[in-house]
Amino acid sequence: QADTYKWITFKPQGAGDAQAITTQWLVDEFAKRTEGKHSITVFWGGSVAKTREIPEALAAGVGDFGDVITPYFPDLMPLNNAVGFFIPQPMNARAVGEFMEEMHATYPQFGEELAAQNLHAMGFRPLEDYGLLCTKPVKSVADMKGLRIRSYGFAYPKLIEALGASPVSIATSEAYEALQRSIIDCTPIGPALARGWKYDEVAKYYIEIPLGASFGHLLAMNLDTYNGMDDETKAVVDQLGKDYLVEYARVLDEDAARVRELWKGDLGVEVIPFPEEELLSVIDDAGVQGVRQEWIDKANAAGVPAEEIVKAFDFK
Amino acid sequence: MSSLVIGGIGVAALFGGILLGINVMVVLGLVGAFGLAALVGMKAATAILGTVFFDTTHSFHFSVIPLFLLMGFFAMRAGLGEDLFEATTKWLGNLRGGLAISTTLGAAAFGAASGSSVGTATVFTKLALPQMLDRGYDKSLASASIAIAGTLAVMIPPSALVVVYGILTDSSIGALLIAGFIPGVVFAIVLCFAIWLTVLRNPSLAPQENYSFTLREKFASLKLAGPLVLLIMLIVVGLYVGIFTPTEAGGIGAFATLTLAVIRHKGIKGVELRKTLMETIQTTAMIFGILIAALVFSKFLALSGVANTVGGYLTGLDVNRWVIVVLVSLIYLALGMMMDAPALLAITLPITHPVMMNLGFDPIWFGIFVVLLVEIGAVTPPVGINCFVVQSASNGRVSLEQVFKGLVPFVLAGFAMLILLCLIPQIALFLPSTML
Amino acid sequence: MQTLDLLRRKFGALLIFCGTVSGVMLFAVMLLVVANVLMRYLFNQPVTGTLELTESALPLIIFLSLALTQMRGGHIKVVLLTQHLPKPLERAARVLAMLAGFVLFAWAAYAGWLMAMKSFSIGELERGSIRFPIWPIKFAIFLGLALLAIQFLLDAIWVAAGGRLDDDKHEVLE
Ligand code: NA
Ligand code: NA
Repeated sequence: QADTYKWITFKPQGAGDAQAITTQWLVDEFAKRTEGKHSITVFWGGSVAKTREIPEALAAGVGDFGDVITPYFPDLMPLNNAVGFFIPQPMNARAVGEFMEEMHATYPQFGEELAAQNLHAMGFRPLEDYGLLCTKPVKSVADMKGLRIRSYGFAYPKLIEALGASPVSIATSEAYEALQRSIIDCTPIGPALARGWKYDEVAKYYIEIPLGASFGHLLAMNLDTYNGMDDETKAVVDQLGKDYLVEYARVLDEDAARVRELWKGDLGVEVIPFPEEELLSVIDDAGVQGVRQEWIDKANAAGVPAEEIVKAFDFK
Repeated sequence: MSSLVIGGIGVAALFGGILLGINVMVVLGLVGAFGLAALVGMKAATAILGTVFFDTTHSFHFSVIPLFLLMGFFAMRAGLGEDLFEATTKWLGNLRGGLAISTTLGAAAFGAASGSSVGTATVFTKLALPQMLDRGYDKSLASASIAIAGTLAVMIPPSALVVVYGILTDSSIGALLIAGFIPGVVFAIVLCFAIWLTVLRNPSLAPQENYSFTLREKFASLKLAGPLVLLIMLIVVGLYVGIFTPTEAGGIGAFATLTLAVIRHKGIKGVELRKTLMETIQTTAMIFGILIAALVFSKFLALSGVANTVGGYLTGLDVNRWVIVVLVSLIYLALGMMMDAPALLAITLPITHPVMMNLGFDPIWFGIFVVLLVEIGAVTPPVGINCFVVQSASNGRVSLEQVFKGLVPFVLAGFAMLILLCLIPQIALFLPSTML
Repeated sequence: MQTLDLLRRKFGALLIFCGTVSGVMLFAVMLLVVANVLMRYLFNQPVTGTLELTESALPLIIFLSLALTQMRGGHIKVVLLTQHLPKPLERAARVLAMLAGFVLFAWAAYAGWLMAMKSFSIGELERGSIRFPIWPIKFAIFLGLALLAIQFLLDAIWVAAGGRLDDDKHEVLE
């Protein structure tokens, strides 16, 4: 019979960014590929579940699909948070997405960790390559001394300290005003998201410090919903998950390029190069290494070969 | 049963439960939770109940609420309300309704700084309500003028709600914040005018005091009002210049009023610290109880599709664009009766914003228009959060019915302001246009 | 009736204790926020963990005082219809209202307990500029919800047995 599935997301429909556009693309493709038999209704803007409620809501069947912001749940899904413990790392957005696909294909523990929460990952949405958006020019690690840099998650605090700056925890929604009022001097972010949150209205220097892409969002499903699908529909979902990454990475690249053009024009954001070796020199810092070791220990405990996996995070 | 039918039953149950006298928090939460269970199952409803309490309250941003409350309670212990009203009666006492008018202007200034509609309503209930009632003001007029004046906080920058709109619709936040300034001030003046007219029609609502004061006495009274005015200035300037965030302003404001209270009572003993703290936490619990319960209900309403269906139908009609504006306003007024502001925006904007843009309206203008509608929604029954707050902070001196009854002229003033925004869009668009 | 009264008083004392803890925490948050601003400007050295401590204190402040607020009649209700009802019917409506509160918050407390246990079992941490476990906060939320459910139940029994509540007295004064 025809099914209407529910997609619950924190993302506002009107956001018009790569995340919102490709979510709509995915929903349209799903209807097309099931030949109109099944469809997905999207509940946008956190109207049904806010970011931190989504895994529980999804697992309990409030929705069938949803976007899980993985870094918010390091204790609930440590394996799937691998990338987040390794900042900086050399992979770009597409590579991070492919890395996650490969992990799930190679090590069943990645999927089992989600299955234990009654969740299934149908796709992966990495975030764009990050640099630092600042209210003042920063050209070297020396310039960072004493700066207040927005930190969040579990890896940034130690990295920011290692760079000689002060980590300040600020919510995404509050960072605009915090930049405007010099409560923070910088925030780690990429061009597309900086435009999306409009931080580039109040911070005019983008520092190309190669923090790498981060992960990101699981395009998650309620496991029962997934298991309850017939083989045909399941195949559509599986393929759609893979195609999503390609489409998303394409839109993301376009978006980043568009924003960089805008920056050159009316927005007047100056892009400042940063010596990569200065960033890499702080990776050996004890604090940064401590965070990395934390993941290695968790991964070993979960029975995956952590030392093997983390080679992907080495700068060549 | 279809989702829409369940949604409809839920809305009816909400109104029924409230009329039966069940407390509002319980009705919202219970109808929302059972509604969710009917739509997606018991387990799913339990998951929502399990996460919503922690996720809503585990927030630095929301800490601004108890801190502003504390500031209000300490300000009261410091006698700042009495001082301010000594001064305002000397200046505006001969004007009938002068106290209500000066309260509105004070709340506009204070709300501008605080950004918290609920916080401003609380502070001014503590400061101004006892003063007005003691001087023989009508309970409905006095309490309602405070409830509506509190909402000025979300329009006059800084305002978190305006930022929410900017994010939901991809509009410039800087332009939106600046755009709110003139409409906020104009609305404050319209509200003062509404008070003046109300009192003109029925002079028994507000007594006239026939004192005459010399100019010297008038200026001397400013010294008394000085500390509060100074405090408001400190917060306004601190926020605009960027010395601190709203939450920090709350902390500093509370600490400053505590200091003033200690000075006034020549020691900490007279401040009744324990009693003040207990009053603050109870009001805090009441506000968050309602906020969270309203969220549960909002989730149910969103999931049922009632909001989307109604909006989609009304805005899809093929009629004059100003008819659509009226219909859009009606949607916000109807849903605003029951929902909390961010959820209201999240549910409606995906439908209303594209429609309005297609009709050629300016996104910044529409943002201010919607915020004004949300302000009106914050005082309309049955879920008028500002009225709940005023009633609760009044220590039983007014009833909820009295507050709602007094709101008629102010809701009309809100409508007048909506019309004014339609007639002269430049009220909202002038300042942002000078930015470029 | 006397036993019930005693029970209500004993329980009330517990709620006042919880409320006191909540009040002290709010005062501490105020001091912390002020200290953070001062340190930031005077020494360019914000107090580490201000955000994390402040945001984690808020649930404690709210949920430790939720039941106390009900006991003192602070939660909002409308008395449009019920005040015109005959006395026994009015009482029945009141008992029903209290039981509705009991059902909602017993359910919420159960849900909160599941979440707290889950948080405990995965060792959930607040990971910002300082680190500490989150599960105690989730247990405090469960406690607050459970206390409120019990308060609603006690009130329901009390009103059914003919007792008066704090908020009724307010209306008498009016
Ligand atoms: Na404001
Ligand atoms: Na309302």
